[in-house]
Amino acid sequence: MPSADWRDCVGHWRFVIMSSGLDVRIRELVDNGAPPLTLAEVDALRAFIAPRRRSKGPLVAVAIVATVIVLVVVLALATGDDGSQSVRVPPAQSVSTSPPPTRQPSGTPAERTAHAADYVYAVDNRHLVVGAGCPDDTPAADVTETRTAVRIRVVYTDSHAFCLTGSVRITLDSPLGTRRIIDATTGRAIPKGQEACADMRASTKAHRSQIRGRMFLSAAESVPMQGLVTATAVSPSTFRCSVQTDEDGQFTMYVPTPGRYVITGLSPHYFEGHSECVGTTSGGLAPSTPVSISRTNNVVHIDVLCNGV
Amino acid sequence: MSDDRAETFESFFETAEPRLRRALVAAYGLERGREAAAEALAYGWERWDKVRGMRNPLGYLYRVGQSRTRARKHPPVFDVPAQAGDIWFEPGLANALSELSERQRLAVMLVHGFGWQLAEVAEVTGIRVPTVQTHAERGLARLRRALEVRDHV
Repeated sequence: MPSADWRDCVGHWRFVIMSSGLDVRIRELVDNGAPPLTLAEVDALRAFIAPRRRSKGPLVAVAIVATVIVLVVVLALATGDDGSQSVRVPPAQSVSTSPPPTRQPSGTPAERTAHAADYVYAVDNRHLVVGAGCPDDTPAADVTETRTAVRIRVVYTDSHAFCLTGSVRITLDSPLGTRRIIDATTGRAIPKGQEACADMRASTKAHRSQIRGRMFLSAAESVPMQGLVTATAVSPSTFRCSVQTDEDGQFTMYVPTPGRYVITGLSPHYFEGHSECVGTTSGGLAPSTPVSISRTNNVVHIDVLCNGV
Repeated sequence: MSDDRAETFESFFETAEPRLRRALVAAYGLERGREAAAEALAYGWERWDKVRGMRNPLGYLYRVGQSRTRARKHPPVFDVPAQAGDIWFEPGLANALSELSERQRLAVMLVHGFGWQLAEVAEVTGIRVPTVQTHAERGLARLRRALEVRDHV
């Protein structure tokens, strides 16, 4: 009786394990050796992601500058041997970092039209509401974040001749912090609501008045609306000042006098900031009618009503 | 994070976590693969507004996981226990898996281990379906050779 090669036995035995149980073994190997992740575990890691992402910008810039310097030195050495050529050092502005990732709105670029952002306010440190665009054509925004600034370009797909104020809600990749907000269409900084009003507070009393009031749901006065209240001067003045309400919907803002202002409000709790609340006075002023404020009005009371439609 | 964002990410996490972790573990080993999966998911959560609108978010996060672990050029490590419960492990399985190429190991482990379709592997890893099939076949053949499986009974 021929004896079987021991390798055949081992091979057969291994094949049984391989063919009938490879799947079981691999599953066991992976799921026991690398147990499932939990949401809490992933959430804890998120704290490390944002700072690391922000810190990459300077590192990339340093790396590029260092590379350019090395290239320049190499070129200088290479051309210095025969002395027949001079080396032109690249101008400083030619050194640039790659542009940071940009969020693109829907629609092709040809369909979109830039629109200057009028104002912005921070709902919290990660969310902005930018005023601009047309209410019947939901505007979008290109957002480019850098370490020092957030550039916003408001766009809309329609070409209405008349655009009433709409708003865009933006979620930032990283907290706003002390970064400036710049309108990429005009290149100018967009005043953050609180700051613009604070500037006016610093001016002399003779040239400014205080507007106080409360923003609330008109159907239920006891329901305060937290958000942004804006005073927009009627043409020809271009003054615009916004201020955030407190928890009770109360606000205080300063505007230059004399002047005529339309008072409006936006609240993330009212149509998610996409529909405006309107200012009205106790004297029965019709909503959206400009309020005339003279130099003698030190304090003006205007409530802002959200219609609750 | 708003409730809506959290909810949608949680539902995505439930389905994506095992697939992403298994794919990255197959490619990079137990420890590195799991770490890469955790980092990729954290990145996806941090940028959920962007990621959820993608056509293939899982494939994108697989790429993120790859980039997070690419800097470390160590061979993947699979610690195979001698026995786990009733399952007996071939002692040479760990080395044999480590010695496969990354793509062969990925294809063998996902297709033969977890029963993924070739198209599923292709979708996550970005490798074409015929290539996945080739890697799976060659990887399994190489695994058999490494473990001296000579018989096809």
